Amino acid sequence: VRDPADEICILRRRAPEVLARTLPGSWGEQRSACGDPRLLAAIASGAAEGMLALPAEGGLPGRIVVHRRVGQGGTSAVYVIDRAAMAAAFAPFRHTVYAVAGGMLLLVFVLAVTILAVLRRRARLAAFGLLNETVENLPVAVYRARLDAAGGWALRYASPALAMITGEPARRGGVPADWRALVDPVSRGGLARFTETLRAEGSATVEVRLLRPDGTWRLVRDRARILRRGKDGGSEVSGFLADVTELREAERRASETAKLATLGGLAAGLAHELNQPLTAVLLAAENAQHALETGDAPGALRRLERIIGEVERTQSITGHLQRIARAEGRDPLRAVDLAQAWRGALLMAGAALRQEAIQVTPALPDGLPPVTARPVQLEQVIVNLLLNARDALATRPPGQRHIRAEASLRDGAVVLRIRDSGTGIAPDILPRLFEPFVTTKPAAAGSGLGLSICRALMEEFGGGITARNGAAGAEFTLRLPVATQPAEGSQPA
Amino acid sequence: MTAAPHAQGPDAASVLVVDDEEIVAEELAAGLARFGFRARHSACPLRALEMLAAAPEVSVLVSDLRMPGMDGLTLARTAMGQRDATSLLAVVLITADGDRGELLESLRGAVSGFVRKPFRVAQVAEAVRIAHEETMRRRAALSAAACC
Repeated sequence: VRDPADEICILRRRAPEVLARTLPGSWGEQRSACGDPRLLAAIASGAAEGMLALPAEGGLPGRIVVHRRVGQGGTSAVYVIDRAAMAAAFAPFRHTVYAVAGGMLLLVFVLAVTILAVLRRRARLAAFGLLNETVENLPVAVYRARLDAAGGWALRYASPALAMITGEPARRGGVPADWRALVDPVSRGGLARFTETLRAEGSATVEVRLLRPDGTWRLVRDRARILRRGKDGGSEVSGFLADVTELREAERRASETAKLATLGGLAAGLAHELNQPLTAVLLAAENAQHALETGDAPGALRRLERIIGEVERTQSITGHLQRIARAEGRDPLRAVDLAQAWRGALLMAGAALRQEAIQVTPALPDGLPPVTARPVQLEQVIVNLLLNARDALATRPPGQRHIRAEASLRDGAVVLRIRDSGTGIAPDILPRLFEPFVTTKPAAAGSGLGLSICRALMEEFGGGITARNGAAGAEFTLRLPVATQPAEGSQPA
Repeated sequence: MTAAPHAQGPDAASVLVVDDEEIVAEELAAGLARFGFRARHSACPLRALEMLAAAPEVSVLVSDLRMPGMDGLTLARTAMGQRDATSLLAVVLITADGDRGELLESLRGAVSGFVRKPFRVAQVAEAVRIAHEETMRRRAALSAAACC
């Protein structure tokens, strides 16, 4: 069976003519390739052996011809391939090729997508693993909870640190027990306010005491935030629980240390202050004794009077020390006479200042209204400033060590300015002067807590403290709100 | 104010007591008088310098360390600088500073003695006696060296 598209013919090259040919193809004589004038012309012009392409033109179909020279007599054999026929012959097979190619493309695509998905999943798993490892090893307990409309808590997740904080054994595979059950009854009120604040403002912080199963107490800080609010009035909450027992303990100790440092600074001065009258008393007593022995009654009497006067002088010091010892940090605020607080502070720090030959010039006008404060704490603030000034003046020659204090009434507040003639505050320290642990002194000399405590106290009084460098030396300004009631129950300094 | 009369020989040591606490200065001077010293006192360091210049017979200065205006050490140095070989002056410091041991230790060469407040008169009297004798020895040695 011959392919209907094929034709083979033998052509004479010189004076081209068809010498022999196969039977015309199924398309008939008009479409026979052997009589195609373009083929005859190509052969006559000496076409090389090989493939000849005859494009479609002038109503003649395009053809591909395989041309070979045969025999000696200048004849050529031509095998004609009809393009259209070839295309038609390939048609069913072409679909298969497309199908195979398409299938392979699809396969490659699916493979690529799968590999990508696997890689992304692995990356996500790695990220999740990292996050998980981080969260589970945090020293704070991270939690997720649901707060219902009635204020009830349901813990949905808590990191393992919770068990360490609460001291309750971790439950494997389940949600751990809520720590709120362990909260000290005294702290319950704080916890209720925490929930209210959280719902009202979207975030809240509370510190509560937990009673652990082993009977020990821990102070924990709970800080939470609402992630989403549901239509039912409930909320999704995330938060963390931190054990702040050691932190608060360290803060308490630091505060005690600062108090001790202030007292230590005063102790030397007070010892000096007490030794002076004691020396006078001892000398006068000895001399009075001798006067009595020699019958000098007036001399003895005069010395006894001196002894009484000197002992009374020590009473003002010991009495003041007792007031300081009795004072509680949480005493209610009351009306305080600033001039009296100033005198009390000078009684405490005066000896320390005199030892360094520092001249103190107070200008406290009469008739200043009483201020709102706690007397002993206000004195502590002034003493702190005086002792700081003393340290700042240590590098000045003795004749140039001055502290000037002046008070005035301004905008409903009493303003006390304390200036020294020292070298001032370093500009890089100045903006952070009232922050805890900022100090200009060597580590042994100061904990750096004095001024931060001063600021905290002044803010508790409803006032403030500021610092700047004046024309000469540092200048501290205390602002104290004027008290609404008169200063009462004030004790003589 | 003078203390009760006491046997004061013509060669009794002459002492000046300086303390910014008037009572301490006065009572200590009175107490030292009981121990046989010719004692006078002042509460003002500048006034004390004038008194020392006017009374070369004073051989021992008893002074408080911390005083406003002029501290005891400056007073002692100034006073000693005013004196010559025939009127050498010894210094005994008295102080209410309890924890200044190392400071006082460093003063050992410059001063003859120091006594911490509060004290009994006898403690100061003993320090004054030692200081006086030492000064007398040094005066004698210096005058001997000068004449040979």
